[in-house]
Amino acid sequence: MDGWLADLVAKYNYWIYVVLMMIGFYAMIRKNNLVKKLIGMNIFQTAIILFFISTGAKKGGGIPIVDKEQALAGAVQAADIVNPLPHVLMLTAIVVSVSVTGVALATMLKIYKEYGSIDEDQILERVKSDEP
Amino acid sequence: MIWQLDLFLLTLVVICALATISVRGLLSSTIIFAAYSFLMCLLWAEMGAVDVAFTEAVVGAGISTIFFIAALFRSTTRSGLLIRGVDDPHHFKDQGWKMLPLMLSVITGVLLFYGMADFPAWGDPQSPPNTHVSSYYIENAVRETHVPNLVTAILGDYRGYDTMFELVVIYCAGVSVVSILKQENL
Repeated sequence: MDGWLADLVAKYNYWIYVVLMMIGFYAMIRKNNLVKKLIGMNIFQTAIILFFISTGAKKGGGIPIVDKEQALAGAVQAADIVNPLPHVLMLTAIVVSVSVTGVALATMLKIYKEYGSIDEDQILERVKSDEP
Repeated sequence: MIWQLDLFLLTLVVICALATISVRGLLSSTIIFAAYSFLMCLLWAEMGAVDVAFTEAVVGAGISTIFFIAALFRSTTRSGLLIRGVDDPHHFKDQGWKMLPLMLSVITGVLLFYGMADFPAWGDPQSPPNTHVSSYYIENAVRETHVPNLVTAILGDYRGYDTMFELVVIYCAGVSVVSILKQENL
């Protein structure tokens, strides 16, 4: 029981990332408003980014900007600086996620122009009534 | 990293996430989502990811919110969706389907919890992602590139092609948005 609790405390960051991911996934499936679905997708993406940033954190680590003279002299220890590699990858992910959001919102506007609604049920009804 | 602050911010983030998908009005949902993004950005600043934090503050909390609000005002001003919201009392009339999304997300969550049990503790300097290739960057990036900000050094120098094709992604997204919205005038 004690080991289980210690395990829970040591990784609470990761557990909460799973909770956020479940919230986003649920919103993507369950909500039938397209804007709510998009917000769910964004929550999902930020949860994944949070997970990657969490893997790079180090206890007592400084931010990844180093003193140039110290670094050239070889005095910078890897354990003192947080891992910069996940930060780089997640910068790309943030930019991609905003591109996806932009294209999705444009598609949503197009659907609204076509069917006059952003509610999934109403759109489906109108799609069915359009069919011959 | 300060675990008290981290836990406090994480709690607020989860509350904001729950609020943003459960409020009825779409405008309030969007504004709460902006608060969520900003809290997320504080969380990353607290974990030492300063570059990611300011990118999220600009892109996630700023531009995304502007996109959402602009799209909402172009699509829903006439219906009552914007303020009151109409989220779905009549959706999933068949009761058997009602629990399916909840069950799916809980199953996914349980699988992820199960996988997470093998992870190294949070903030461990000796964990696998923190030991192999990343220590090379920390120790040698300044000598090889003369850039004191390690994230900039990796982004612009070691992973330059990655950053270049990221611009291609943004360009494609821009072209798609223009071509999707342009057709309505034909």
